[in-house]
Amino acid sequence: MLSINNLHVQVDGKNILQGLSLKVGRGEVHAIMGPNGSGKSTLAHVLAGRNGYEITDGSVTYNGKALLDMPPEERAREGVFLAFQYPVEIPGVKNVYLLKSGLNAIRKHRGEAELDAADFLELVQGKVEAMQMGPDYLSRGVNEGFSGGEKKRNEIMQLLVLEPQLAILDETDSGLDIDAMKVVAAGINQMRSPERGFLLVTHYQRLLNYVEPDFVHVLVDGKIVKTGDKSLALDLEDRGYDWLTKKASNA
Amino acid sequence: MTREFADARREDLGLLLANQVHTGALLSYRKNAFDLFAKHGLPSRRNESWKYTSLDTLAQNQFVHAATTKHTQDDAMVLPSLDAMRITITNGKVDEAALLKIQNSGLQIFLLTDAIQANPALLEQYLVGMPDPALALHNLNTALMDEGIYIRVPADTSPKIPLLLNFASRQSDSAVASYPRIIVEVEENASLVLIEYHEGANGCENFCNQVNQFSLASNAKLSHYSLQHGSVSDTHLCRTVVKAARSSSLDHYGMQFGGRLLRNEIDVSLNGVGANAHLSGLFLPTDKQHMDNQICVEHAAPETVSTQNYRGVLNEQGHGVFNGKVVVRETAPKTDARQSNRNLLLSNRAEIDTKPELEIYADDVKCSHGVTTGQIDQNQLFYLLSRGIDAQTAQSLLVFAFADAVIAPVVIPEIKEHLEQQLVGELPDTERIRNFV
Repeated sequence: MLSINNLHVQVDGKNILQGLSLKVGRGEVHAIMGPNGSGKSTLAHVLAGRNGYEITDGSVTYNGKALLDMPPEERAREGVFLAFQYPVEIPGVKNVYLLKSGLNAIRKHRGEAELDAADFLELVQGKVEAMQMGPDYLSRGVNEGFSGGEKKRNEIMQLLVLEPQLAILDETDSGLDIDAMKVVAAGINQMRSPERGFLLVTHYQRLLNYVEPDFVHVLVDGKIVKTGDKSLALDLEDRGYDWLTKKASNA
Repeated sequence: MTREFADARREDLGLLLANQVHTGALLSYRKNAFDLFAKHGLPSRRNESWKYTSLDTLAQNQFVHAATTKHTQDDAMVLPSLDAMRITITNGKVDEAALLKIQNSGLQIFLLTDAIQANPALLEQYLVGMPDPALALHNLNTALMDEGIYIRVPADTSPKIPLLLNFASRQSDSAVASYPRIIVEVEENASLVLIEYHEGANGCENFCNQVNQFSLASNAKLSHYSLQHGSVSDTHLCRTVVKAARSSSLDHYGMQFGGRLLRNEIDVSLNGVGANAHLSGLFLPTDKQHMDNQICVEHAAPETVSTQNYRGVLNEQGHGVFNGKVVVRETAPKTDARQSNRNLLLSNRAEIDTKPELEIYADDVKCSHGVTTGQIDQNQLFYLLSRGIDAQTAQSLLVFAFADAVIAPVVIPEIKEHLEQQLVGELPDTERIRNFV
């Protein structure tokens, strides 16, 4: 589904990703781990189409198409979803508008009928409760006045509604207490399916206790230096990243 | 230029006097005010409060006085869904039949010129000249005023529905200058909702020089809406003076949508303990429109409260001016004054000149002010795009959300809905975002 080949990315003239290659198939959950500054968030943003990143080499294909040539809204309509590490507040744009217009843009792109207000509310109601968003959630501004935990739950809320094919979760576990972590993990697990791929970007393996990955990759200095299964995440928890960063700089 | 303008106005005055149009008790006030006006002429940009607003184009135009033009009374219905007492004022001319109809609806309402004739001593205080050259247009209004409207809301009275004044700017043989004057006295424990709706027919290049004078007695409450939907070539300059007594309250909404040159001067004096004024406004200049807001709130008594919340969205070569001044006198401890002006620039040719001013002479006061000017927030934009929303819709949604912060608090649902629909109409990709409102 997603194939990243030898990706090189610069930010302000500085090399951040330096030859990253990765394949994500349908139904697979990949965890990308790594120390701060290794390029994890850059990878997430580049895949979602954010401005300010210069691709100097390499390519990304998604369902056979050149992902990097698409504007961000087209990527979203093709089924790419980014859960932001720091979701922005948008006062005045209500959650209900964001969810409905996003969902209908995606449905229209797929040639499906757009949902009217009643159908939309029916679809969304159970999910609002599952993510514990509170009764006035839909009429509040997007992330407006939300606590850190609420913002993260809202990202997963959008994941549930938009039902992407490829979900990229950027440090969704950071700043969550244990109860919020369980709610978020339940939301993610609910979305696991043979049709959907996940890229979990995380610094700690905490989330991976709840969402079991099929693959764990370690990113150091903009390259994947080690790939393993979930036991690699536990190793990292015990040993930290030092042994891998030293290896990378010696190589 | 301004000399020729003044000379033409002198001829207008001569015509009014010769035809005895609303002279009588007004005569000496007209003459006195005109002398004050003629002394300095139109305010120039050398004057601090006119620094960013030029009247040069206005001075070059020829206008005939509204009293000397013929016109048909306009029966266009604005805000049709709103249940209101309605009076249409077409090129300054008040629909007298409509006025008579509401004379016993909880308020007393007269043509101002009739009220002055009947009781000049009572209204004298409103007619005195302004020596400040910056207030030349106030004097010009006094000198050349149309019949105007005088409203008194008797003590303990609250009309159930708003009073809606529809100012219709209409084409005549030549461009028309009108000088509306609205005086409102809200007595103790009384309240009124007053809506001014200004609209102009396409092609009008009229000039409206308006003065409002509102007097609020103890515990009085006035909600004042000024909705400016003029034609693209109309000029509307309005000065609103408010005197607020003990525990009285003013809510003002100034919404500048249409017009070539719009200026709202709001001059509020909080003279009684606990008086409060909440002023909010939105200005949306595009093309070459110029929209100016000059706000001055004077806190002269203890525990007075004021808020100013103004937002501008500036597109194309639109030019916005905001000057918000708060003066806290020595006599006004425990004042609470907050001021905010936020501006969104959508074009690199648009311009905003904004200046917050605080003058504080009392101790123990709470005052804050803040000004921001920026463009569409790229993080917000990317967030919407990343959810599949197209760029044009995303941008319109963000502009709408920014401006709606001023409209959303409007408590009359018909007005709020009207303004939101008007706002949507100003945005690109209107049809797409109409569903969101």
